[in-house]
Amino acid sequence: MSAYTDAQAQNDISRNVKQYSDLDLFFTKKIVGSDVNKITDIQAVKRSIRNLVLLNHYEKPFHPEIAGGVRAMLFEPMTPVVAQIIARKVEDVIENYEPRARLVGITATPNIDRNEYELTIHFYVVNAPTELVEFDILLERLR
Amino acid sequence: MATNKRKLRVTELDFDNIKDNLKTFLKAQQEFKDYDFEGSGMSVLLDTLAYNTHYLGFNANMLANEMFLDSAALRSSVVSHAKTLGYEVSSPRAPIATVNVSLFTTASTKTMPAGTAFTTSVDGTSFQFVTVSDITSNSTGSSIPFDSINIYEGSYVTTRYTADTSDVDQRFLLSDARSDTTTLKVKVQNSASDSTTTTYTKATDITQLSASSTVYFLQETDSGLFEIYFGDGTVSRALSDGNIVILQYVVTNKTASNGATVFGSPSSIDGVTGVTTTTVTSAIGGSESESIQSIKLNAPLDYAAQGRCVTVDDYKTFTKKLFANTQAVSVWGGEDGSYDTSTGVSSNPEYGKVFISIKPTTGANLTTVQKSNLVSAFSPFKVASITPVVVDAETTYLILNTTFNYDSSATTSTKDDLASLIATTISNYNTSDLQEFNSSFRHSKLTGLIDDSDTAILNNTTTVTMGKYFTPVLASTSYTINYNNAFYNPYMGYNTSAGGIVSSTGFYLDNSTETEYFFDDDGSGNLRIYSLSTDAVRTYLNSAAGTVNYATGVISTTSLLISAVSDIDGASSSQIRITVIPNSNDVVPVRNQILEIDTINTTTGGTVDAQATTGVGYTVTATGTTSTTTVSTPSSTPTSSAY
Repeated sequence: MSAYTDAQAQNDISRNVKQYSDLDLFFTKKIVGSDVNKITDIQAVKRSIRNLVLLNHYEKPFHPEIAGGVRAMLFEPMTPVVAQIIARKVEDVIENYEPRARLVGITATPNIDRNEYELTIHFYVVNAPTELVEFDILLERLR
Repeated sequence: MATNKRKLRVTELDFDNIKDNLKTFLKAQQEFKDYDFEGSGMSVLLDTLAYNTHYLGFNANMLANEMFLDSAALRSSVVSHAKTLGYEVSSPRAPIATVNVSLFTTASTKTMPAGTAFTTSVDGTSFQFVTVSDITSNSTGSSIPFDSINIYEGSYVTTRYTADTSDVDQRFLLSDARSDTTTLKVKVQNSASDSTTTTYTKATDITQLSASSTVYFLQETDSGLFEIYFGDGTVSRALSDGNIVILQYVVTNKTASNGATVFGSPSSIDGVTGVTTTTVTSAIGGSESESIQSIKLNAPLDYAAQGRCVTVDDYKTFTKKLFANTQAVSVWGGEDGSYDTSTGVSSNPEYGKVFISIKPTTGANLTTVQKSNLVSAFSPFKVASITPVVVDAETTYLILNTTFNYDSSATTSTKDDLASLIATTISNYNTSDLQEFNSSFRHSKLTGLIDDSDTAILNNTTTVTMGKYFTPVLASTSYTINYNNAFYNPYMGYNTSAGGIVSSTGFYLDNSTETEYFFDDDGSGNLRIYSLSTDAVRTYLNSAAGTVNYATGVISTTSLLISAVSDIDGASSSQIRITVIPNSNDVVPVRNQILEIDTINTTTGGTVDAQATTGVGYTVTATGTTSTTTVSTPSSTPTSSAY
């Protein structure tokens, strides 16, 4: 996923005091000047969820419990049951560590021909309660 | 980033605390606000920063710890600190046995080469003992005897290095961490073409060296191997290119073969096949290399002693260094007591001497050879005019008689179960609190532990009897047995009719095996010898066979010819045990005395406490006299096994 396509809603105006703002880990450059971009609101929450889902156990120093644990499941036989387990794991990690997202639903669809899962997450961001966010992550075993 | 007037706290070293401090720091700015969410990019950045800080903090902490002898954890650091204090860390020690070897040959002289191997076996495992130097002996007629030669357990190893002064990293290492450096011999051969060799000795005192001194220096390397190195041509003689350094030493299995007694002869020595080997002393002295704790303890003490034995602590440190098999050591100056070969250790002062008593880690007492070796080893360090004397440790046995009351409704255990629990408690106390120099027997501590053995045990009464052994010799001799603790004697003539407070195992006098005799006392300071008639009446042979000093705790006999002794505790023995009742329930060891509970004769018995179980009546354990309750039943039992 590119840094440009996940942008959905920017609420970058000075009146908004509840704005979320985060460092852009793709380190894209601002259009004006040579400073690094920052990401805000829905975009920031989506990035955060993406980080959490793709985090493996023991990757975060001293906090092995903070992880989606998806990688381990990609080495399991590809079945609907495993897809369900992946969805549960993702649900758990978002519920526990992303308080900004109000989760609506998660579906993990195995695409057996391409050896990948399509993970679709629906959620509301708590400071933008009117906009249902749909977010897709493709889970594919690389090695 | 926004300016931040907060001070960043830097005292924390823990990962989470560091991260919290960074978050506190970031609260002052508005640009990035998501640092509190675990999935955010800022959190990843903070993780990295905090992890790095934690890492450096830990590194700095380790670094600081390793810089000081007290806090260093790595062996290499401790050894290095010890080296700066001039302390030489002990290597593993090979067990040493002494044997006599005879070669049956008509030749006039033969040489037993270094590395001659003798075989033995301990607990089913075979070991090899070797000589470490060439020994030459002459014929006595039909055979050539090699008397009292020391053999060391292990493999005799030779390592050769060719010196290369252009190689600045060249090291002369002993090949194995199990090498015993006391067996090390260092020779330097001039070159491959010139076989002239020079023997180098270990440098001990740098002030005695010159540029031509053929000495080597020894140190443990950070890998645990020992290394030798040479002078630079100024401090002592240096190596030159092409010199061949020959190291010969024993690589040992350390403690595994301590106690080996029977040694098999090599098939031939110097071409002679008729070889017999007899053991003089069994293998003792094998030990591990010095532990980190030991180095930390001894290196500063050794430095404080400045290579001299002056104070009692100096002698303790040097004893551990010179005799690696030391488990515990007690040292006292001549002003505090003395040793006499016939009367043993006493409190009479004898100035000009220092007395050293050693409890070895393996084996019983030191052999005569080991003692004289140790005394000679002290000579370079001691103050002139002071004579060190090595004295055997003496064990005083404590025989306990415990009776306990218990509440049978508070337990499912039987009386025997509880007695067995108490026996375990006593045995544990014996291991943890006694069997060392200066470890007192504290009566109330033990009785407290016995009460705590089980919740059903309500109280206990424990009496104490002291026992000492002495070995009679087959000649008219007087004996002195020193308990160093006062005996129970509330008034002159106490318990005269029943034999006072002294009792003994049986013995026979004047080469007769007809009548078995025992010792007792008359309560007035006289030791008596009696025999028993069939109806257990005491017939006195001698009512003044010696003296009993109740105040100082010394029993002395007149000159007696003890020709045989009875069995002790059902086993044949060469010793006589004399037991006495102490004045105090607490028994204090002094000088070379060690206390130990005699678990064979210690008895434990119990009764159900009627008060606790039925509410009526209370059976009292006989507590006897008011002043010293525990010695109410002074048993001077004439048999050898009952107390």
